Amino acid sequence: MEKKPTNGDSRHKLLDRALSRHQGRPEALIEVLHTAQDVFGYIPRDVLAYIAAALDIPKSRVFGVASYYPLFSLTPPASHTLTVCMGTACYVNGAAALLEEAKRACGCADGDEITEVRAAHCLGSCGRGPLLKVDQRTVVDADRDAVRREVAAFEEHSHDD
Amino acid sequence: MHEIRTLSIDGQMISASADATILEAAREHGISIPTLCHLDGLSDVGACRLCLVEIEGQNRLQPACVTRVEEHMVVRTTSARLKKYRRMLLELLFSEGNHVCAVCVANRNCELQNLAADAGMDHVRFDYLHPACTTDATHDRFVLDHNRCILCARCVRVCDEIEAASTLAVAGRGSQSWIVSDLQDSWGDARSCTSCGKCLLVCPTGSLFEKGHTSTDPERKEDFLRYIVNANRRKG
Amino acid sequence: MTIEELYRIGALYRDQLATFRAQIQLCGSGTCRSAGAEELQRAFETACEEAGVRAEIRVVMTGCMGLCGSGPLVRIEPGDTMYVHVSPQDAPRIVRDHVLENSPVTEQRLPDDNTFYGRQTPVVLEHMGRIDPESIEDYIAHGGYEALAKAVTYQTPESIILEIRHAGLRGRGGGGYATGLKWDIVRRGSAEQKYVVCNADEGDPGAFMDRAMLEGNPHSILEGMAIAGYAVGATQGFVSVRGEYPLAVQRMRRAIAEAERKQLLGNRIFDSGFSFRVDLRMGAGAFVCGEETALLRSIEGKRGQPAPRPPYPSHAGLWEKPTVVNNVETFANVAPIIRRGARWFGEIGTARSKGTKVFALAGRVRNTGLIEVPMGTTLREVIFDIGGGISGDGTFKAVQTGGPSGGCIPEQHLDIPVDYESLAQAGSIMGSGGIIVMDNSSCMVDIASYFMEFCRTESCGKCVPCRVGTVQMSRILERIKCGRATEQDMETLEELCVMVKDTSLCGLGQAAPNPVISALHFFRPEFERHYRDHVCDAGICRFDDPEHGVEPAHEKGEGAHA
Repeated sequence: MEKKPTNGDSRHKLLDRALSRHQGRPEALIEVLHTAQDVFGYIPRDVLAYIAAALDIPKSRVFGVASYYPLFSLTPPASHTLTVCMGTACYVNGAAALLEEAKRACGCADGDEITEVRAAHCLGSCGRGPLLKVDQRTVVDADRDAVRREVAAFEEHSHDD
Repeated sequence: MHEIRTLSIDGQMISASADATILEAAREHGISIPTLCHLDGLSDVGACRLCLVEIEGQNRLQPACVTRVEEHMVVRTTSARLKKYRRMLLELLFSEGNHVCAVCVANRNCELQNLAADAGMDHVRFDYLHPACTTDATHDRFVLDHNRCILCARCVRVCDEIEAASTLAVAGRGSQSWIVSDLQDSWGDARSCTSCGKCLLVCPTGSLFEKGHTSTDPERKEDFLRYIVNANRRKG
Repeated sequence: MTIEELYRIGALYRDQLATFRAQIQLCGSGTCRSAGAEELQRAFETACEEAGVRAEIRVVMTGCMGLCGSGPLVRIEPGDTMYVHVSPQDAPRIVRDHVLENSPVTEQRLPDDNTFYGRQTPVVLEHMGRIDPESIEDYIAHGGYEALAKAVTYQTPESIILEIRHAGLRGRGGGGYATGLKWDIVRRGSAEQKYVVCNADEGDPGAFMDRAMLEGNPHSILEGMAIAGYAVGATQGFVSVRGEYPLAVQRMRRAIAEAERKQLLGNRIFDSGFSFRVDLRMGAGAFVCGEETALLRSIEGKRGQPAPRPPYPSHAGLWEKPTVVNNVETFANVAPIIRRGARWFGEIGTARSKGTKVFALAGRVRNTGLIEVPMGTTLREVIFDIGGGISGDGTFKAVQTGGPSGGCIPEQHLDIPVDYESLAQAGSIMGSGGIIVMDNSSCMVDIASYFMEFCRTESCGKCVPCRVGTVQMSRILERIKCGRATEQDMETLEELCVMVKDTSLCGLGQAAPNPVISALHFFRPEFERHYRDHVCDAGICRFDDPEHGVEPAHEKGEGAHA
């Protein structure tokens, strides 16, 4: 049995609860990975190993699944995420310009540590595009100004810290 | 006693067992169909699309490796269209990786190279993508060179289905897929690996090879599978 | 639970509703929530409180009311009066003038004779935006679970399948396969264990029908699944919900738990011999999991990659067992058909496409939102009557249906009826129901490139033509966009389109070239102007940017993705 991930805390209890809810059945892998992603914000390597042992699935296959699905991340997240919806409805309403603005405003063509800029394939609120997702909050009818406002708010927060 | 089906492949009337695939039936009668991800003894995935054939009455081309024979089926394994598609598929594979035959351990003993020659592929008209790939030489004896990998997943299947070590898997997705050992460990650190070397024997290109080899044994290397599979069958 | 108990629960809830003097219904869809619906709910509650009528007025958050572009939306009952763009400041006035003094506020009121709602035929959306999606009693009070009760108590599985076949219901996920036929194959399967799977892994960009239905009326989907389970002899169902829809996941989980508590799911439903459970699975962001074989692999906890068909899931699906796979809207159609009969259903729609279709109308159109129209309605009616025409001062250019597997339809084909065959003839597909309207600010080369890029990033990587072909096509389109393409590139692009379509393993790859093929068919001069004259009429493409169109080399192998 793979030993428990080292930094034992309440988050591991949540993971264990998910594992026991599914009675260690291998088909629960994706559900358990969702739980891990939720509680840790990403799926650390030792957690992958722990899940592989608990569900009795070869490590390589666990890695194969975790790296296949875009909602699972194997690296720690940035402190903020700015997601620009690039769904078709948002796209024909100018989402590409917003994405550019977001990257420019964050000064990160390929992501810095504070804010990660992402492009989503569709957030499903197509009637009010372009959409912006600021961490977990969705902004409808977004424009360049909205992007600049949200990025400025991030920066203020990071100075507060 | 198996049920028998009669069908026509390339105009030749043949009979085959009802559970045979078109590929098996064709090969048994000396009709060759190009394959890359298929290997006798491993499960079939229908992924490389080289074995696509035309079946009369069906709009879609079907992979011979997974399509079962049917009574009165009329199959064509070659046509101008199929030849063109096969060549394009091979060109796509060459464009996708970094295939430098001159320095490859599999040169002159490479399934990809042979298929390209058979298809009359004299150049690649797509953009070479020149991916930045690494080579994992951390294992004592073996090397995995991602530059030469075509993602046929034969190594993954032999590791899983025959050796039951499941050290290797396909990770990532789309054009960003790659072969991984354990949890993206260096191969040398992958504890599940038994160092059996079967993955080397089934690799159609020079992506997996034994250290120190600059050119591999010229004989058909995957023959060993037949013995293992037959032995397993006798045991079971 | 017995039928009598079910009726009693419904009657009790209706009595309870009748005690209210009025209802203030707020659209609680994800979209209206993002536009401030929750704040609005508090404002209405406070307004009622301050007017001293809190106990007499029901303030309730419903599912999607449809007119997303004009949200937050509010409906006052009795009277079915709708208000659009409502802000918290408007709440006191609406409560005072309309609810208490019965003189509707004229500003923001949606006219009763509006064409948006007036032209629709709600079947699966009948109770959406009117009932509380978090209350199973509300669903029951509106006739919910009566079809299931009727089915398991009075009907045989065969007669249900016959009813569905007579109704002419076809798969609403895009394929258009006859639902009754599919169910019949599964029913005839000899396996002991069978499964029912609801494909709610909505992935088409610009489509939100499933999201709205999952959030707005989850029980209607569960009821359809349970009836399917009874008809085919399955005891276990799975609903696979897109992971990007947290509210839909939450509502569906709650609905399953409530239905279990009321014994509408579980053992011996309505004291019959039929038992049926439903488990929720959360998708993890892979578009290809909308393809049924990939979806089943993901429910099994594996990499969601498609497998060659045959075998079809109705023969060998989940864990190789016979499996019904239908999408959300298909299941939502089942209870209405069982309740009201195949004949009623068959009178809606066209000869070969029966019933209604739910569409998500979005893009450069005045009224964006969720709509339901009889099959056979023309695209022109959808866009110009229901949709109110082009938003802003642009002119109509094309309408995109079927998402990354569909195509763009120009002005001259707007009078075709929306049904499976007509859309296919026009070079597009019905798809799951996304309709994106484009005006002259869209460049068709850019749109073709957009969809190819989508397919490239969503390719699972299993088969060669899709994995590499989409990369190559994407690069050529990128070159056309920045004026670096040659005639040779155009030729190669068209060859690749045909080849990828013919050789790919699954529907995603086979359909990936469709947006390009249709754009080339209807808008070829636009392509030519790009690569010959370096002109983009929409002003989207840039021809002078040296950085543009050069994609970084991708990395593979150990450490590459750390």
